Amino acid sequence: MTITPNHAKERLKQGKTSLGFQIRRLYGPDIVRMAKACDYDHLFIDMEHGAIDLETASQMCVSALDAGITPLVRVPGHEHFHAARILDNGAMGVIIPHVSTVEEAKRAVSQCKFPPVGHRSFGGPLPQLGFESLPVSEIGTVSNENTLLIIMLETPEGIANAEAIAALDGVDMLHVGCNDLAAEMGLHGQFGHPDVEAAIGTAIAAAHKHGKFAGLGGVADEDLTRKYVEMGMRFLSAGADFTFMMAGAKARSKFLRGLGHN
Amino acid sequence: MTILKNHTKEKLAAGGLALGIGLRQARTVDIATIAKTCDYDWLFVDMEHSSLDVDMASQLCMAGLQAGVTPFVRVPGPQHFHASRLLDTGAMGIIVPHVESVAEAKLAVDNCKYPPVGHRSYGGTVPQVSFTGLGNVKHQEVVNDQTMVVVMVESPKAVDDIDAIAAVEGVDVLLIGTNDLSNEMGVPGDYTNPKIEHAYDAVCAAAKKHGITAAMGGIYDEDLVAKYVAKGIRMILGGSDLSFLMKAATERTKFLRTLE
Repeated sequence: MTITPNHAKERLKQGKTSLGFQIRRLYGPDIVRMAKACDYDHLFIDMEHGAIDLETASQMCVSALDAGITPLVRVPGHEHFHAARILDNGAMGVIIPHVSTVEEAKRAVSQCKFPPVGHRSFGGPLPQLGFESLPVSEIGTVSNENTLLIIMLETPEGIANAEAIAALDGVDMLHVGCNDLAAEMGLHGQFGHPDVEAAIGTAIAAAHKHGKFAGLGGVADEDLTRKYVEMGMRFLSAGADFTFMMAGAKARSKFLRGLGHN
Repeated sequence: MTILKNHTKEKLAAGGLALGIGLRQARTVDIATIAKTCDYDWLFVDMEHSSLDVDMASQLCMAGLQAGVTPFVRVPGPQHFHASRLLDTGAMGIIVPHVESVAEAKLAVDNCKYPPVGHRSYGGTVPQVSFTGLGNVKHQEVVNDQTMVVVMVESPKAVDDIDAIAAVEGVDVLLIGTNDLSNEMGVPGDYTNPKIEHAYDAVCAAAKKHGITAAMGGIYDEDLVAKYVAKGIRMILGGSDLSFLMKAATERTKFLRTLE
């Protein structure tokens, strides 16, 4: 079997959580194995807020295919080449940030799914399919099934359009970006605010109504995370390479400074 | 001030503890600022056990200079070019692994210090003095003073010769590599073994006698670290980007898996 299964999608279909490890600053093929060793289900390779270029992102994606952790890439913009080039080079899904309208979501579908669902251009054999020369129609069918198109809702407008976006054929998930959403709502950092909670509830309801998955990023607090998982969030951006590293590094220096001799 | 200070050297001179963070996964310059914010004093850029190449290690060192966290590089071998290329391009200290004899310690000094202390070749001005043209004589004096030579003690043979190694002019730090030392002593990972404690005692005593610094790496147990600091250890490798990342990342999945 040369077709790499989408481990994250399989878990989500079973109603399980998929835990995401965000890669932003400590990159290279080996970080992929570390994320796997730390029990993550998918990689969230961040080309929106990291300096990662396409080549490096591709190397991590291809490594992840072999490591059994699903490589997903957050693209920096809505141009077709952002999504298409990384899908051609290892990603099993793309995360499109800052989607507020149905038109923007339709465009994402058009870029990420082969016909008849979208208009993704066929560029030849894919690493996700073991570079097998399958018939074009089969590549299209399998890739569409294996590619997660994740739409990020980060504005009140996006939340208002959640249901129409979720209804689109080809959209697999509504993913709430809690940081930007709260800020756009004038509730900077207030991830437990009733209005933020209501927006998250709206996104979950819209996704579920149309048989789509719901995802959450930006919330680190354990009680809030528990609450939103109970509400229906299953795709979780658990933290980033550098946030984990800093948490460990700070705890250590704090202890060592406590030994005196400063 | 165009001559950059060796923050770690100053801290040690004042009797303080200097905390280091190992870098083996980081490939971007922002890691230096991150290390600083996490309250570390020095970078341990590891070219022995990582795939970091000279060019990338140099960039990490440059970032360390700018962020005020002293860049040390652990070189992969005792040859001169490992040390000199990094010292020429940003490192303020070289950590030489697996030093077992006075001759090897002298070679490390020869590679890292300009004459009259050693035989380092002068390749022109360096980033550690902000590329200022100080003139050959002044440059060599300033950079020799700024540059630290760290020899790693990782075998019983090194422990046996530690007093003579510590006496080598130009050696600034004796760093116990506790992992390899325990392996070589036949007590792998048994950091509370009396043999290990004896090694720490011997290294701390030699460092004190010769007015240099005793350092440790490889032990992360809090009680053991505290014990050895009490014995005189002043430079500590606190952990690495890899170990910190995996610890915190695993704690997070442990919690999140309970939500299923």
